[in-house]
Amino acid sequence: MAKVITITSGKGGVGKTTSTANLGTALAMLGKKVIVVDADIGLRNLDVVLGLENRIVYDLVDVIEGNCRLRQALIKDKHNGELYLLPAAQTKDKDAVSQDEMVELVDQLRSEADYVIIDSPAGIESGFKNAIAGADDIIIVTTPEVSAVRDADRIIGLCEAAGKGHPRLIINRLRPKMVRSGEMMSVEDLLQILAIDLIGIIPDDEAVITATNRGEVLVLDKNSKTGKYYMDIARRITGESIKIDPIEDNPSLMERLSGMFQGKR
Amino acid sequence: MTEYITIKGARGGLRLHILDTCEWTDAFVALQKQLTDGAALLQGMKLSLDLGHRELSPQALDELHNVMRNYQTDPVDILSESRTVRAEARTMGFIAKPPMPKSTTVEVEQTSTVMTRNVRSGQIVRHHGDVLLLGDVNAGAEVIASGSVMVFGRVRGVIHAGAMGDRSAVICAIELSATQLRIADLRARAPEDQGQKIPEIACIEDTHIAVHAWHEYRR
Repeated sequence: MAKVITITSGKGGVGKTTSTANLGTALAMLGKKVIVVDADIGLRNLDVVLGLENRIVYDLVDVIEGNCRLRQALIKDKHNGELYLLPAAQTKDKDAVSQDEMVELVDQLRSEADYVIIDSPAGIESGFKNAIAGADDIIIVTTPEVSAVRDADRIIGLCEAAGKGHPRLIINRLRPKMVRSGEMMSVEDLLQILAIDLIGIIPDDEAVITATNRGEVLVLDKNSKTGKYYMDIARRITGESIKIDPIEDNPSLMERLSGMFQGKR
Repeated sequence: MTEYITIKGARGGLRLHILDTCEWTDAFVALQKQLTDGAALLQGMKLSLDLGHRELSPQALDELHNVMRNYQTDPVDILSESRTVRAEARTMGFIAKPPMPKSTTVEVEQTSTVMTRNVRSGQIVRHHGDVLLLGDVNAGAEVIASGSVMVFGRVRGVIHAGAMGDRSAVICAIELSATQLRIADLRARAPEDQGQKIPEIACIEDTHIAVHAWHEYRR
């Protein structure tokens, strides 16, 4: 029976889809059978990020409306035979699916994989509610920005109200240099506000943009540090206990010099 | 001064008992004032009006119905000993019941409550009485109480103490970085610069809300 994990955030553009694609791929690389589900009906992008757009025939709404069988709608990933995508419909909207239908669909998926990862739409309306309805676990993605943290806090409250236990947190797009200079909220600041367990930190990395545009995911690149951070999160999902290290980068010469004068470092 | 309105916490809401031995006009004016003063607290709560033994004309009930509809979107229960008042109230869309026998109702005056939780963005805690919260009140969250609010944690949201008009209510917290503080009918905004992170207490002094360090506060 699969474990169902929903990736959500409240605010848009913080990296839900990128995280879903990377974690799905990483889990598949660990030998798990994974289905990633795009629950953002009407605004699908998980297929684009995975580079599977041109293979879509049927989608999630087709399955729910009975236009096709579930297995017909599952698209096998081009890199990894253990990873499947259930794409969202692009021509419908969020009202095309009800919470009960979503729970039923998720239950069908459970017998097909080890992990089902659902990419939630932004917002707190029906699309979000559908995405968490069938989830066993919830992972919240946020960036170190006040607005994203505020929305994450709201989402945590809603998840708790929906009886979804203790969500875990991915902090995305951290810039260690800005944190050091006090221009960006630190991991500690975020955890103090949100008061939930951290499952991983991802640095701000331009390679994410180029990879996304090419329909590749970073975990496939063995030299990518960011890919390795995603792989660590995937291992933590499978139950391995891996220490969460602070994101390293090399402080610039100026920073080191000023640090020396202040008697630090 | 005659207390026309007594407020009691009932299970899951509030019961407003309206004195039934005075002139209706006096009681009605007092009720409207109470609703205005306590709007922040009352609007989110299930209310019932206990009219006791008072007989009310259909016109007076209709007036009451209009007033309640303006203050409250939820239907209000009418409790009355009088069968005619109950029947008339039902035709207007009130839910009308005889007041429950005293022995079976769990009625309390203002009570204190202790909560162990974080109040997160978008969540509102309402309570008739004092609130003692072990946890944080995050930005975008609200705590509204008719009494004082004490927070063993950080406050970054909005706190409204004395929400029924009690100007002696206070707000205190281990870290008081609230976006806005309200006590009774007054409000205060946090200064733009990050305040000192020490335990503080806010109370009304004359015509404004003052915030003091905990150890400097003398009553």
